[in-house]
Order: sequence, then structure tokens, then C-alpha cells
Amino acid sequence: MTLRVLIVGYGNTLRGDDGFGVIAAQRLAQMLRGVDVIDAHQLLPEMAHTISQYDYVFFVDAAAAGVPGTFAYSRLEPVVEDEAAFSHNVTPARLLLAARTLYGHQPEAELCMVAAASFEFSEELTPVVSQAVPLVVAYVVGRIKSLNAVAGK
Amino acid sequence: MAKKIVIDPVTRIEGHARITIHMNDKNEVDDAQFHVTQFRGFEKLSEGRPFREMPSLMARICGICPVSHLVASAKACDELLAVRIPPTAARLREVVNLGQLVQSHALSFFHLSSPDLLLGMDSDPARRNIIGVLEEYPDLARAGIRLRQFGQQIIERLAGKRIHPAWIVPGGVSAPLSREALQQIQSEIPEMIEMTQKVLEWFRPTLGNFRDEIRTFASEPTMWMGLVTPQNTLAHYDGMLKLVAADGTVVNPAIPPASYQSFIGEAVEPYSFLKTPYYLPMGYPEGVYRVGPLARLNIVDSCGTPLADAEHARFKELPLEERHSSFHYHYTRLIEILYGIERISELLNDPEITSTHVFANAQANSYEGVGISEAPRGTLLHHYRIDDNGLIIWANLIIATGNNNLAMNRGVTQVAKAYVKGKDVKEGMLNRVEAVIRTFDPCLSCSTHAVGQMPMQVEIYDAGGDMVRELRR
Repeated sequence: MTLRVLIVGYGNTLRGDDGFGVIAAQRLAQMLRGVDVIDAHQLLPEMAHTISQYDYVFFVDAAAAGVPGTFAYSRLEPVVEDEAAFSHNVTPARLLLAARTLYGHQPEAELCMVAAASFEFSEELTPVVSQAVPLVVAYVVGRIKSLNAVAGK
Repeated sequence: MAKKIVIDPVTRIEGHARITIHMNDKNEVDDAQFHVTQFRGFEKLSEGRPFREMPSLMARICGICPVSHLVASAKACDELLAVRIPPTAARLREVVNLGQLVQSHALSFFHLSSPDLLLGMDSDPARRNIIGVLEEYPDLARAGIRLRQFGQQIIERLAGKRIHPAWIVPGGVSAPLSREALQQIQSEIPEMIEMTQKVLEWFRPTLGNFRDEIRTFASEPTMWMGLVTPQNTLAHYDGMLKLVAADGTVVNPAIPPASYQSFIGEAVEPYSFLKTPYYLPMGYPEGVYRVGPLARLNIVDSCGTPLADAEHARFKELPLEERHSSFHYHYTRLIEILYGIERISELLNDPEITSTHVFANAQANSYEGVGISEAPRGTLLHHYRIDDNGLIIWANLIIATGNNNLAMNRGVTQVAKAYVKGKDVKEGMLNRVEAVIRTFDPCLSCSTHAVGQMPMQVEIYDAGGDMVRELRR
């Protein structure tokens, strides 16, 4: 059995390292077959429906805090972090909650983040964050292989 | 001792704003003001740019309604070219403009305002949000997500991407509609119509639960303005400006967009970055008018599509006095979603809709152009002047939300006087002051950069400037 896997990379490619998720997602789309990839400016409420149709979702984003270029990943749970509106402020955890509540299926999910060095106007990543792209790509590719290996047993 | 209450920021709107409420010694509201606290200045930064860049540049004004600015800007540039664009291009522009209308109205109704409408104005603010709606009203939440998705996908299928597409260009559009995209959109229309009708069937009876809000939410009579067809039906892409007085009499049945400056003045107030347009013949601030779905449905004889016409007839059965309440922006937004889906269907059924003749090639032939369209929030106007080299030397933008600025200010004062009383200012009172702004669905991002999100903060000051109370959420 092969898992249905989705990768969602998001961020603003006009604001320097904020575009990390989009660039990493585009790189993964070139490398992977049988895996769907979305690159987006921001998360949107309707993505709740999309992610509910997958077994496993990777969210790829830039982090505002941390040592620039460092990579961290974490499992995601559907929680409500705060009470702001569900428009400008959609988060992966909210999407998981909405997927479970509205569409009856919450995929397994993890968040892959690289700490940014600069969010100033630029269409390029800073060197330190750019160097993290292959690290994250390798991690996601390896993780998908191991997930599929477990699922196939 | 006199007090000032500050609601900062106003939540569940697009952009940043705050409200101040001034109270007198008897703890009664004296006055209230709606402040837009951000500045963008696209009128100035466009100076010196080639006019052909304007649609793409203007689309950056807003991530919520970029298509509205694309349409108005491209129409102004069509005037600079002095060409009549191919009919298929005009139809495709109208389709994408209506896709924007559907997704924007769905966002406003389901994501921003439904917590108030479904969970109650006085409900626990910790639950009064979209998460609360997801859990208690999943069918409506699904409808909101699906309708927004439908509108967004129309934009993506026609224009290539959902946010800041560059498909609408001076002279037409840059690519025809593919048969595959046509069939995809057409196949989804029956589901969207059925879904919208169900939401209307649910919403109509609930209006009885909001009698006080209908009575007090910016319900003072004003003039109405919007674009109409020659048959006096809804016109979101093109038409003539119509102005109707508060008593329902027609003030101007058909103002050509190019002569708008004879009828609309623009005032500036020191407390807000949002300009304040007004009806010039009546002067400022008496010339208050409203735009948007409530205005549009109050000035037309019918919508122009069968199912929306039936719903519009029900709306028109309400007394004129009640149809002045800005609370009914919510109701009319739903009717316009229905109209938008039906009208998209009509436009896509045109046998020439996949024609490849979608662009008129020309050089600049005029020094001045005015483009006007109906954005989700109301009448939107772009006006440019260029030099011999086609560079912008002057630009004026009248944004839909700005048209409603006077009415919004009057509205917050009216609702504050109705609900904010005494020393014990309850959260539900202040929520209604915010909620009256939400009925207009102001898009302040059209005049600001919206970065980050602050918590709601209410501060109460005495006459000496000392803060006597602070509320946060």
C-alpha cells in the first residue's frame, strides 16, 4: 500500500526567506512522483477539504524565530491556538481541525520549518536559508520512503 | 467625568482599524469615530509608471480583491487605448469579476460574520469565532468553504492563479478560456446554486432574531449608489452610475463614469487615512451615500437572473425603512452570491465564450481614462492621466470601502449610542460596535499593508487622560 502524501509549501516569495516553503515545495515537486505538491502564498480555508483527502501531509514553512538556517520538524495536532479569524490567520493546526470536523478525516501531519534570516523585500533566499533547502528536501524524501515502507508491511 | 473608549484593532475585517467612543459625564455616548490607521499611497507611487503596468501594479493593492482592481484598472487603460475590447474578453472579465464576488462574499459571510450570526453577539468571545462555527454548524461551514473555493477556482482557471493574476490586460485578456476549464466550472454550478439556496432558506428566518440589530446597525437613511444596466438590473462589470435618494426617488438614473467628478467629492479627515467621498451636489458631510450589495439591491428593479430575482423580490417586500439597515448587507451578500453563480452560468453558455479573439492591440490614443466596476464591497473607480510617453502623471482611486466611510462613521455612533451605556461596558456591547463595521465588510487592505494581527484592546480613559479600565481579548 502506498500512502497518499501531500506537501504544502507556503510563503511570500517577494519577502526573502519567507518564500522558503514555496521553493522547497517546488524542488520536491520536481523530484517526487506519486506525491501531490501545493505551493501557495498562504494557507487558505478551503485547503481543509484538500488535506482531508490525504493520509499524510507535510507543511513546509519559514520560521520567524531561531538561529537562521536551522531546520526543525514536529508532528502536528489539530488544536485551536487562539481565537483570531479564519481568513488571514489560517494555520496547519486549524486546517487539521477543520478537516476532522467538517470532512471526517484528519491526516497525519508534520511541520518542517527553517528559521529565516531576513524577511526584507527580495525574490531570493539568503545564503544560509538557501543551504537548508536540500536538507529539508532530503528529509521529506527520506521520510516518505520510510512512511511507505511501514505502510507496505 | 468624560471618558473615551478605544476599540483597537477592530477584528474580523480585512485590514487594521480602531474605533473610539467618546462618553460624557453621564456615561452616555457623545460621539464615535472609525479610524483607518494604515497608509499605502498607490495613487502617488504609480506616477511615472508605464500605463500598461497599471493593472498588475494596482492588483497589488489587495490580496483579497485583486481582481476588482485589475478590472477597474484595465478598463481605465482601455480608455487610454481608446479601443472597444472583443466581446468575449468583456464576458470573460465579467466571469472572473463575479468569481471574485462569490469568493469575497463567502469569506465575509461565512468566515468573518457568521460567528456573530450563528453563535450570538453576546456569546463567549472565546467561542465566537470560526472554530466555534465549525463545531456547531458544520454544514454551513462546509458551504462557506465550498463557495469560496468555487470563486477562487474560477479565478485560477481563467486567470492562472488565485492571487494577483496578470491575465486581465489593457485591451482584453491575455489568453482565451479553455474548453476543459469551461466544463469544470459548468459542472460545479448546480451544486453551488443548491448550496446557496439552502443557506438562504436557513438565513431568512433567522432575521427575526436580530430585530434590535436591524433597527440600530447603521440604519439611518442615506442615498444609494451603484452601476446598473440599461434595463435597471445588476451590473458588476460595466454600466452607468445610478444614485437613489433615501426616500427611494431616483436622483441620477445614469451618470457616465467619466463624469464622476461632477457628482462625487472627496474629503479628508484628520483622524483617518481613508478618504471620505460624498455626493458633491449635497456637500460635505450631508452628501452621505452607501455602496455595495445592499445599495445595489436597493437601486435595481431586479437582479437579472431568475433565482436571484425571486430572492430579490422577497428582499424588496421588506419596508423601505428596514431596507436601510446595514445589517441587511449580510442578506444581500447571499442574494448576490446566488446572482453571481447564475450570471456566470449565463456568460459561460455563450457560444463564443471560448473564442480566441480576446485581445485588441493598440497604442495609447487618449491622455485620460476612467475605469469603473462593482467590487464585492461597492463601486470601484480608477482614473489615470498619461503623458506623450504613456507614463502615468496622475492617478485617482475611489475605493469601494471609502464610499461607505461616512456611513460607517455614522453607523458606529448610532450603535454605540444604542448599546454602550453606563459604567459597566460589557464585551457584547463593544462587539456590536465592531459588528456594525463588519456588516460593511470593509477592505482596509485596499489602502493599507496588513501585516500581523494584534489582539483586541479596549481602553477607557477619563477626561484627564488617565486609563481607568482596560479590556483585552
